[in-house]
Amino acid sequence: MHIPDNYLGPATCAVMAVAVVPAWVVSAKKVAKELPRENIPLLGIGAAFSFLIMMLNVPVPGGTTAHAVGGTLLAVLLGPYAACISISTALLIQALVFGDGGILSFGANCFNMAFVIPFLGYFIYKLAKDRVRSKRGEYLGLAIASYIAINFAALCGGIEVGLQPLVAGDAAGLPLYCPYPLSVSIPAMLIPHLALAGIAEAAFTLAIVAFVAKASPGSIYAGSPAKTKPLYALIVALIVASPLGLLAAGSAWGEWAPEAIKSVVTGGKSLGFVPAGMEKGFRFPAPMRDYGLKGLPDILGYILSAALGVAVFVIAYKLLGLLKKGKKVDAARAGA
Amino acid sequence: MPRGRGPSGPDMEEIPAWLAASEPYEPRPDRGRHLEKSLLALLRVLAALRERPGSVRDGERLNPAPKLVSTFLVILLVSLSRGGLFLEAAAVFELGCLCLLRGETIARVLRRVLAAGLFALAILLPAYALGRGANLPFVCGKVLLAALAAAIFSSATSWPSMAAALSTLRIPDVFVMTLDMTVKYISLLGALLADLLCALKLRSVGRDGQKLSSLAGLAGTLFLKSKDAALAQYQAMECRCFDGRYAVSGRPGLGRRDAALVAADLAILAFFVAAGRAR
Repeated sequence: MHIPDNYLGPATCAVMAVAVVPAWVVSAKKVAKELPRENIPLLGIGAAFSFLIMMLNVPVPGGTTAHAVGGTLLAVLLGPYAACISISTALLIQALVFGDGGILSFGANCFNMAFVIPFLGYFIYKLAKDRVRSKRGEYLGLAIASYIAINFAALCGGIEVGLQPLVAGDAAGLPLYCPYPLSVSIPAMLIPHLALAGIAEAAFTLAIVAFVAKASPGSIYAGSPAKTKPLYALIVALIVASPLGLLAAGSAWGEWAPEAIKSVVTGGKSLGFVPAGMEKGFRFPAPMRDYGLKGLPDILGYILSAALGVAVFVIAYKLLGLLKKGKKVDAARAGA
Repeated sequence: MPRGRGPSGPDMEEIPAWLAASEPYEPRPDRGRHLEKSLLALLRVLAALRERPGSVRDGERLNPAPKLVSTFLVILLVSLSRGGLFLEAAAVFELGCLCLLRGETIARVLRRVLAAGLFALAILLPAYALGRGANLPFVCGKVLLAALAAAIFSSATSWPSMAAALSTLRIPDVFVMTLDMTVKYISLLGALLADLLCALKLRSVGRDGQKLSSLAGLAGTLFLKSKDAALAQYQAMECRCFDGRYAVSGRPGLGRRDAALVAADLAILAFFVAAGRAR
């Protein structure tokens, strides 16, 4: 996920660097306030740990290996603020000494790996931990948190790279940096992460946290309970940002409509026909096909569909909660 | 071997037949090579960090701060440039710097730059298929030049002088200290991790069905060790009257070579502006 120099234009690099500075400032302040003085060396040593963790190859099904980033892991072990600083430090050394990741794109790499992964991962983990009583539920939350966090970071990386043809072109409109549009860059970043790196990250995080919890339970960072307000803010931001999907013209890999699959190009040849099972198969007459409503501009339709999706999820979640409560009441009555 | 106690000595009992019988054991081959891969990557990093400790590296006679600024400037200008003319000038400047290094350093820098170039080519080639490849040589050239500038800087600057450069540039002390400590502990904890990986590799024969749990033990132990190391480090610092200030000792002054580098930087900046106007 390390973006080298010249895949992003200088303008994007500057924007990403400005975006990550508040995260560093808040983290540095929070660490200075929270961390006892004798733990100051832990930042540097945590960075060394984070650097080494990125070098470990995790076996994934199929006999191959994948690297873990360990962002959620560090956030759970050291706290998200210390993890942000530690991972940034590790990334700086990778860029300066080992040429891994660019110098101008350092801000973007820090945004994806040192800000998104630890904060999002820790937040989802904490949210699950505070609401689930059993150890198993907590670990499930941790696995999901690390899987989502690394994939979200990959998505951010895909968007940053995929925006280049739109924001930086020469006089003839030809791309000056990474030439791939969002419709190529997002699937190219996400598919390997969804299929391999995410699984490796989740398994790795889970196994190490379980080991440390067993071997030395006091060593795990105990933060304050997660607040739900930022989650609502994030959901609103995502709804508003959902028209970004419109920029990614074309279908995502594997999400073609039956008519579109005819023109899918594989190995230089287009398919040229619609698989019979798809043509005649079951088709659900969705009211909001392609996330749009008839008679509405596309962008508004997108926002409305995103809001609808969230509302449906919240209703389903609350109904499920009701079921659980009912069971608890029954159990209490049976006990009495 | 003590006298009279040879294999045929009177005290020696016969080896029982069941022990003498040979038992063929062929461990089932394991597909996952994650231990070897991790160990190799780790040893490569350790070797890079410990390279020629204490000896004067190429380019060490330059003050590290202008070197760092110059590297950043060249990478920025290369990234900003929109015409091939400036890239040619930047290539001349960088190759000029490269030719001042020693042969083995040049070989190492070129290996790294070549790897970056091949990676860029592999990533960018499919753009031709999409009809977006017109600027491909230009983009690849930029990637190569940025990688070359970074590689020249990192192979011509030892870590302590890099930390000194950051300190000269008024980066807050606590960051410089953290960076310095990170590099030292990558080396120390890396050696520990290499030992753990070796031990695990020696003890796992045949197919290992518990790869993940062994890896968790490894990384978990590493984490607990780093916590101990952090506490020990703080205590040691406190014993030496550490008060949170990190002073760089022996900050090098600016010499004639540094002046030449600054002049070259100004020239390349002027060329960038001129090339931009000419277009």
